[in-house]
Amino acid sequence: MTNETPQKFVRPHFGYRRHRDQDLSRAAVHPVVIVGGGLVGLTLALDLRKRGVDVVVIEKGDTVSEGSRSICQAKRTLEIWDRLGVGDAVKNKGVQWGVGRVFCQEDELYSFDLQPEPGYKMPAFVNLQQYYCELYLLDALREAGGDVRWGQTVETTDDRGDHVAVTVATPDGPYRLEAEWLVACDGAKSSVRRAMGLQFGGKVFQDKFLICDVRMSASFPSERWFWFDPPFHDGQTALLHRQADDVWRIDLQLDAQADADVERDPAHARRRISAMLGPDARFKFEWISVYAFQCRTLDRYRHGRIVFAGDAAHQVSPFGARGGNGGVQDADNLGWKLHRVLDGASPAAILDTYCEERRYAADINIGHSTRATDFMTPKTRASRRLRDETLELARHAPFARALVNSGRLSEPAVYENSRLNTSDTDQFLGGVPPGAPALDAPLRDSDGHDWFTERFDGRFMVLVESNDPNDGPRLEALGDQFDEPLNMVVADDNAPVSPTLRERYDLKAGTTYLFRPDGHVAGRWRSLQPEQVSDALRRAACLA
Amino acid sequence: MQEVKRAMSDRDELYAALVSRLEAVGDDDALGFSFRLILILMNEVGDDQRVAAAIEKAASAAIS
Repeated sequence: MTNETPQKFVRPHFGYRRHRDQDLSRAAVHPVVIVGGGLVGLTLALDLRKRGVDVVVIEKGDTVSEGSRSICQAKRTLEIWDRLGVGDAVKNKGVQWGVGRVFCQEDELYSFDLQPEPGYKMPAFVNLQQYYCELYLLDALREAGGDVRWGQTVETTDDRGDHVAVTVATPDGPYRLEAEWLVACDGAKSSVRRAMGLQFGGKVFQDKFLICDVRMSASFPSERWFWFDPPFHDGQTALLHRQADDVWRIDLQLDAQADADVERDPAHARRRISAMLGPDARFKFEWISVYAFQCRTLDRYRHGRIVFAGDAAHQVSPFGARGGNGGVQDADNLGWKLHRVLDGASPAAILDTYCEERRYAADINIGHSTRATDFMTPKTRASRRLRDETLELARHAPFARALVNSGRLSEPAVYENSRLNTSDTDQFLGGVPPGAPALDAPLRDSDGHDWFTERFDGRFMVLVESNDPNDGPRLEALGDQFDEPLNMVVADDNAPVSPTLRERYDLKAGTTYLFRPDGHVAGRWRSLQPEQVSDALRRAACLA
Repeated sequence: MQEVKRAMSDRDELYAALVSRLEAVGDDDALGFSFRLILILMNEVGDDQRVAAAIEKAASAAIS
């Protein structure tokens, strides 16, 4: 079934370079210093650069991530990256999928399709190794004039009220920076978080998992396959995912007592993978690692002028693809708010809404992650028996399949209780409620030539279904009521929108949506009333 | 949690059926049988709040 393929991804090494800031007699001042150049740090840096913010990324390594790590890039992440100019690159390089299959022993229990209906630019998921995503982000950041300082480590941070004093260690010795804001995107073992002595509360599971990137040519379909108690790995779970370049991701659950050093040994791992793929399978390891599940979060993500994002702020188990995708949504949420604060367009209090919204999202992710972990790795004989009976019942009873939890896959958070929302006062039958992220759809036609989510450009956006001649002056009035240019999408008889868009947003004559710069709905109405929209806009900008 | 009367007219008969099935499967399989029954009943009840309340009630009964 499988044939070996010889190519191997070689990580580029960017190397440490001395920066002119290191030769200054006093600390250089930058609006934003980001600690960590992974998925989250680079996404935030790119978002801020696209908004014209001078941002410095300090990365202790000198290359992209080792191993595939966060491979399942969800539709929402792809849409965010699309706004930043890297969505197509990730989509085209990665393996698109939407179907998952869950097996128990040798039998398929059920399958699911995450995006059964057409009409979205992006697929439900794209599997692409994290290092590729980081390379695309780096290319775009370089093009946007980004400043990534490789081989440098933030040693100390000192919040002085009006700025953060930062000491950076380099091979040439330390130097100082001053940041108006410092964002820690330095991962689960965040040195910034540790140096500040912040509690990282939650649950650490004892169970271990072997995670392998295996290069081989194989005929498995581009689907997520998950096994409970597979014949090749008694009593445990297994996961198989296809990635780009004929690299396959395999996760195997291990005993809690497993010796991580032994499991990481390639000869030992080869025996386990051969049992799964068959004795004749030819493959090469690209990466072998052993990890334990952790579901933890900081209590607050903003501490004065220091803000935490991604795994530095919260950590989940990998099943469900909620780590990387959650982190990219953090960056998406934070970027526009930080820009507004730097510009003086919003008060710093808007950053507290970053914390509120993303902490809410993290709690949801941690809840899902914890429940999936508990289902996969029952802790007592009774809970294992309940799990096994659920699996057995699921073979025959469709209702029980809904209880089988192999990881509920990442969905974007709906900030339903955010104080930036303006609640509905008009009646909508469906559509996209305040707090929810925009739903994509073909914009003007159904041929996929233009997409609604492509219209988001980082500004507040208004969508109006206009059939009233007075809407033109009203739109002008709306523009006059707010100090900054608004992005407008107007649907009328001359430029109608697609039926899919009309249906997804429950559009009728006069229907007006206001979207935040990150694409979440701030408010919606059945008629275009400039004052209502303006009030909602001020609320969403934390000006009300 | 309110007592449900609805369509249950002969509880003794139902209890006897439960005992009969438990004795038939034997002690070793009684746990599996009970878990299957719980899962099926959860689905039959079909109401998150009622099931959650039943779980709590069972837990407090075990404690007291």
